[in-house]
Amino acid sequence: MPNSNIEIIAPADGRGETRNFLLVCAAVLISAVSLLSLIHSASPKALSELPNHLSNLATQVSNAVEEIELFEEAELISAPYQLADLPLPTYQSQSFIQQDEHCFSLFQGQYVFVIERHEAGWDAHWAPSEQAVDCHASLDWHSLNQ
Amino acid sequence: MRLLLLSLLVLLSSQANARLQVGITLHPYYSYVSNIVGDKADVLPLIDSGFNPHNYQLNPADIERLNGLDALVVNGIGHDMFATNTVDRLQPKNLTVIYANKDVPLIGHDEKVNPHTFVSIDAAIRQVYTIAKELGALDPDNKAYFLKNALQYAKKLRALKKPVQQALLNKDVSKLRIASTHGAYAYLLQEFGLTVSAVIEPAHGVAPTASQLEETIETIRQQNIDVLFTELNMENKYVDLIERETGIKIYYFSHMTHGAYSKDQVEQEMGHNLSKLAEALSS
Repeated sequence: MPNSNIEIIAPADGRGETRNFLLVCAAVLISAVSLLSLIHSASPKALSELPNHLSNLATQVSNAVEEIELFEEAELISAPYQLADLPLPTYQSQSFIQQDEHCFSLFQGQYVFVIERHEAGWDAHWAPSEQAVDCHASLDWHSLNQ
Repeated sequence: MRLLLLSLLVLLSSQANARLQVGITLHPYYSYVSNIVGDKADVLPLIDSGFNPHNYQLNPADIERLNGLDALVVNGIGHDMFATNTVDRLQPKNLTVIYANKDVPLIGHDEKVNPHTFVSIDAAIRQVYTIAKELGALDPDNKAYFLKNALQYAKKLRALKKPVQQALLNKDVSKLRIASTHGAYAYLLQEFGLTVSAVIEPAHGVAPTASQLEETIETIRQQNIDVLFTELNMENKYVDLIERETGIKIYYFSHMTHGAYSKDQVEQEMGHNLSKLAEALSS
C-alpha cells in the first residue's frame, strides 16, 4: 500500500526560471534605456564653444592677462587701473572699454570678452551676448580656452 | 688643500645636478624653453632631429633620457603623441609634464583640434608664458628670471609681425583667397585676418589621390584662389602640377619641425614665413 503522506513534487518544467529570466532581461533593458536617455539629455547642457574665427582674439586677450599680471608684479601698473595703462589688444578696429575700476570689456559681433581684476588676480572670460555688457552681467561665461 | 679642492668639486657637481633638466618633443619648444631658461637650466630634445613626429616610436635610449628629466614640455594636442602616449603609459616618477597648449584657445574641437599652435606668433607667446610659469613653479629661485625672459622673448616674436602688418596697411584682404597644402598655417593666418579656403593634403605629408587633386584644381579655379602656401623641406610634386594647371602663386612656409634644434630657430623660420606672407599680400 502506498503511503498517503508522500510529498508530491511538481515537475520541473522551467516555467519559474523562464519568468525570472524574462524579468531580469526587462530590468536590464529598462536600466539601459534610462541611462541612454540620461546621456542624451546631458548633451544639450554641454558648454558652448568659442567659434574658430575668434580663437586668435581669445589668445591675444589671454596673453594680455599674463602681461598685466607680470607688469603688476613688477609694480609697473597698480590700482586705480586705467585703460590706457593696460596692454590690451584691439580687434578689427574694436577696442576694450573700461566698465569700472576693475572691469574692461570688448564687444565683438555676438560675443563679449571681459578682463577683470579679482582679489586673487586678473582673469578673463567670454560669453555669447547681443550687446556690450560689464563683468557682472548674468551671462553664460566661459574661460578663454573653452 | 686637497680637501678644499674636493669640497669645491662636490659643491660644483651638486650645483650642476640642481639645474633643471627640461626635455622637449618638437623643435619650436626647444627655442621657447631655451629662450626662457637662458643659462639656468639644460634643454634636452627627447629624440634626435630628423624624425617624423607623425609616426615615431620611442626607443629604449629615448625612454632612458625621459627618465632623467625633471620636466617635459609637450605640444600635447596631437603633434607629439609618440611622447605623450608613452608618458601616459609609463608615468615616470619625478617627471612634470608641461602641457604648453593648456591655456591656448584652439582651432577645432575634440578629435579635430588643429595642433599647429607653434606655427603662430600669438599662440606661441601664450605657450611661452605657460611654460615659464610652470618652470618657475619647479625652480622658484629662478622664477622671476624665467618670467622676465618670457616677456622679452614675446616682445621679439611680436616684432616679427611688422612686415606683414605693413603689407596689410590700406589693403583689403576680404577678397584674397588662400589655399594651403595642409592645415598648419591656420593659426598664423588668422592673426592677420586671413582664412584658408582650401586645404589640399588629406593628412600631413600624405599626397592627394588623382581624383582629390582634380577636385582641388577645380576648386582653385572655381573660387579664384590667388595663392597657395606649401611646406618647405617636403617634396610635393603635385604642387608643381597645380601651379601649371591653375597659374596660382606658390609660397613656401616652414613647418618649423625640421633641421637641427636651436635657440633661434623659431625667430629665423617664423621670420621667413612672415616675409613670404608679406610678399604674397603685396603682390
